[in-house]
Amino acid sequence: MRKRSLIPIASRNSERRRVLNVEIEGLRKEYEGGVVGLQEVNLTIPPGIFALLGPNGAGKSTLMSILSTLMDPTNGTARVGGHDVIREKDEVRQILGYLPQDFGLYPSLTAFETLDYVGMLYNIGNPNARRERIESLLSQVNLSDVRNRRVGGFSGGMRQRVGLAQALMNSPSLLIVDEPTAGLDPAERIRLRSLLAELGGDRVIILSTHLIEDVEAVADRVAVLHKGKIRFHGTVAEMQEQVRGRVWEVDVEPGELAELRRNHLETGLRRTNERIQIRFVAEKVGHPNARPAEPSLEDAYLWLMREDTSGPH
Amino acid sequence: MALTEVAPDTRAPSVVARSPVGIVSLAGMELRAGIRGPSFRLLAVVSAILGWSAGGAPGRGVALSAWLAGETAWRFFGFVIIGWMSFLAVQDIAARTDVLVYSKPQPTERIVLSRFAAAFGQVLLALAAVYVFAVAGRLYSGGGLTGISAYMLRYLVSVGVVFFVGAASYTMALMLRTPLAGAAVGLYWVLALAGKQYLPKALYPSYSQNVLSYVFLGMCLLGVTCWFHRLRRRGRQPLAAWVRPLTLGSLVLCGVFVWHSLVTEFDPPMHTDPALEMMAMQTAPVGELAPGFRLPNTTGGLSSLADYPGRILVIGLWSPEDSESTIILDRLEDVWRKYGSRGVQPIAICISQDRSAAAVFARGSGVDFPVVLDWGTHNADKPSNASPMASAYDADTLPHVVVTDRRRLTRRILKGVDAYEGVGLERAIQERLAAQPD
Repeated sequence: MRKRSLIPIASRNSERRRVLNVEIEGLRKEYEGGVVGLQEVNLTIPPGIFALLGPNGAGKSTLMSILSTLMDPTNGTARVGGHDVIREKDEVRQILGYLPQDFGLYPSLTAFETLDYVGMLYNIGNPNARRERIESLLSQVNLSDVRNRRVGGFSGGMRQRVGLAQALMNSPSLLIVDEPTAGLDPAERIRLRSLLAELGGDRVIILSTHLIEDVEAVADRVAVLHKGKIRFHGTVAEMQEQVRGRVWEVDVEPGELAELRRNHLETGLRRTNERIQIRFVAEKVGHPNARPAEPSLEDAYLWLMREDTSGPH
Repeated sequence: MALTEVAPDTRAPSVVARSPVGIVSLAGMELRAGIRGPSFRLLAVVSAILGWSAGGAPGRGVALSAWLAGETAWRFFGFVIIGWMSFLAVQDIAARTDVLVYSKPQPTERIVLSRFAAAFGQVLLALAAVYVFAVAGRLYSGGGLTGISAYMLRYLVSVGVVFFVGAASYTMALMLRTPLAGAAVGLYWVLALAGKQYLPKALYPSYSQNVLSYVFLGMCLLGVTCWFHRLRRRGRQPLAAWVRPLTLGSLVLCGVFVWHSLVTEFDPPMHTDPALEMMAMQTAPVGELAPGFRLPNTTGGLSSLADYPGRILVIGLWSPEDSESTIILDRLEDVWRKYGSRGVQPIAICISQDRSAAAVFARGSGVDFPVVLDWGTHNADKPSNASPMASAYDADTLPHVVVTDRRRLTRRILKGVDAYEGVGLERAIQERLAAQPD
C-alpha cells in the first residue's frame, strides 16, 4: 500500500517529527545542448540550516529543483529521508516544503485563500484543520493583519513571507528555500533571516543563496558551489578556517593599488583619510605595511571561488 | 537510511491530518482566482457584446435570437475560447505558479483536471453571459420572451461545442507547453467554417447531432493529457484508476458516435437514403399533388401530409441559415390560429443540417402546428440541391409556401417576401376556403 505521509499524524501531545538526512551521490545534470548544470555533486546534509553558497549560474537552483522533485538529474541519486527523489517523488513531496527563487502567486487571491489552496494541494482535507494551520502560519510570518488582502498588492518581502508560509504548510522535514532574500530591502531581508533562524531545529533547511550575509546570519553548515561543482562543504567555522593565516590588510597610497591587485586576490577595500585599506587573501603579501587579519566568511568564499581551485576540500 | 524520532521543536506547527481533497474543491479555488482577474472581466465583456448583438433578432418568439446566440457562441466565441484556454493552459509556466503547484503531493491528473475545470468554469460563465445578454438585447429591442426555453436548448448544445474546443486547445497547449499549440485548433475551426461544404456532416462540430462525438473526443484528449502530461513527474506513483477508462472509453464512444453519424446521415455521395432520394424526385407544379414526405417532427414522431386528409395545407419551407425565412413561422402560426378551426393546416419544413434546428425554432416561436425537419439536408450551393424537400418543392428562394386544396393539390405557390408580407398568403387561403368551405 502506498504510504500517504512520512509525517506521523498524531495528537498534539504525542506529535513527533522524523529526523532525516539528505544524501546526494554523484549528481550530474546536463541540459539540452550540452550545458552542464551540475557535475558529480556529493553531499550529505544533516538536520539544521545548510547554506548552499555560490554565484549566479553556479547550479544552486538546478540542485534545488532536483531535490524538490521538479527536475530529474542526468546521473546520480539524491535521497531525502531515504526516499529517492527520482522514483519516490510523491513520498518526497509529502515531507518537502519548497520556496522557489522565482515563483508566482494568484494575484487575485488573498493571503488566506492562497494558503488555503496550498493546504488543499497538501491534501489537508478538513477545512477547520486547514484554517487552524493557516492562522498559525500567518501569525508565524507576521501576515495575520493582511490575511484578507490580495497577494497581488503585496510587497516583495510580503510575497516571500507568503511563499515561506506555503512551504511550511505541511510542517516539512525538509525545507528548501532558494534565494529567499534576493531583491528584498534590508529590513525585509533581516526579517526573513530571523524567520529562517527560528525554523531550525530538527528539520533540514537548505538555503540557497549568493549572499554571504545570509550564511553568516543563519547557517550551521555550508557548501560552496561553483560551475556545478562543490568546492567546499563543512561548518561555517570550518569554511572560515580555510583562509586563516592568509588574510592580510594593507594601508596603501592610491597609486600602489594597481600593482597589488594584479598579484593578489582582493577581498575588501576601505578608504581611511588619505589612504586606502585593502584586504587580500594570499599566502604572502610583499608589502611593508601588510599585517595579518582575522578571516571572514567573505574572504573564504572569494578564496574558494578562485579559478584555479579544484575539487572539494 | 535509519530515521530517528525526536520531539519537535517548540515552533514546529501542529501536523494536521491529511485526506485527499476533491478535484472540485481545488477547481473551486482556482475558479475564484480566475474570475476575479482582469482577463476574465474582459472575457465577460466580449461575451456580453456578442450576446447583445444576437439578442435583437426579429420574431414573435425568441427562436431566432436563441439560434443566433448559439451560432455566435461557436463561430465567434469559439475563437475567443481557443485563445482563452490555450492561454490559461500555460499561464502557470509564465506566471511561475507551476513550481509551487507541481512540488506539492498532488497527482498530476488531479492538477490537470482541476485546472481545466476551473478554466472551463470561467468559459461556462462567459457563455452564460452570451445568452443572458442575448435575452437582455431582445428585451431592449422590444421583443417578447415567448419560448424562452429555446435559449436553454441552444445553451446546452453550445456547452458541448465549447467543451470540445476548450478541451482541445487546453490540452494541446498544455502538452506542447505553448499557447501557439492551441492555434492548431483555431486553424481547424477556420477550416471548418470556411470549408463547410468539404466536410462530411458527421465531422462538423457545431451540429447538435455531433455534439456527443465531440464531447467524448474532448474527454479523450483530457484523458490523454492526464495520462502523459509531465510523465516523469509521476515517479513510481501509479496512474489514477479512472484515467485509462476515461481515455479509452471516451475514444471508443467518440468512434461509435462518429461511425453512427457517418452511416446514418444522409450525406451524398458518402451515404444516401432511397426514401429521401424518392422524396427529392417529386415535383410540385400547380394543379398537381403536393410532394409528400415522412419526416421527423419536434415531438419525437414522424409526420406526413397523409396525416391531414381533407384539410387545406399551407406548407412552408424555411431555413435557420436564412434568417429572414424564419419569419414564416410567425405567419403560419397566425394562419393556424385564424383558420385552424376551419380546416386549414399549416406545416413547416425546416431545411437544416442541424438536427435540433426544428425543435429550437418550434419551441422558441411557440408554435402549435407541426414542424418537421428535412434530415436529408446536406451541403450544396442552393436549397434545391441541398434539401430533398426543397428539391421536390423547387424552393430556391426561402421562405417558400405552398397552399393546397383539400385534396392536396397544389393551388398557390408564394416565394420569398411574397410568402410573409402583404396579403398574398391570406388571399390564397381565403380563396381555398371559399372554394372548399368544408
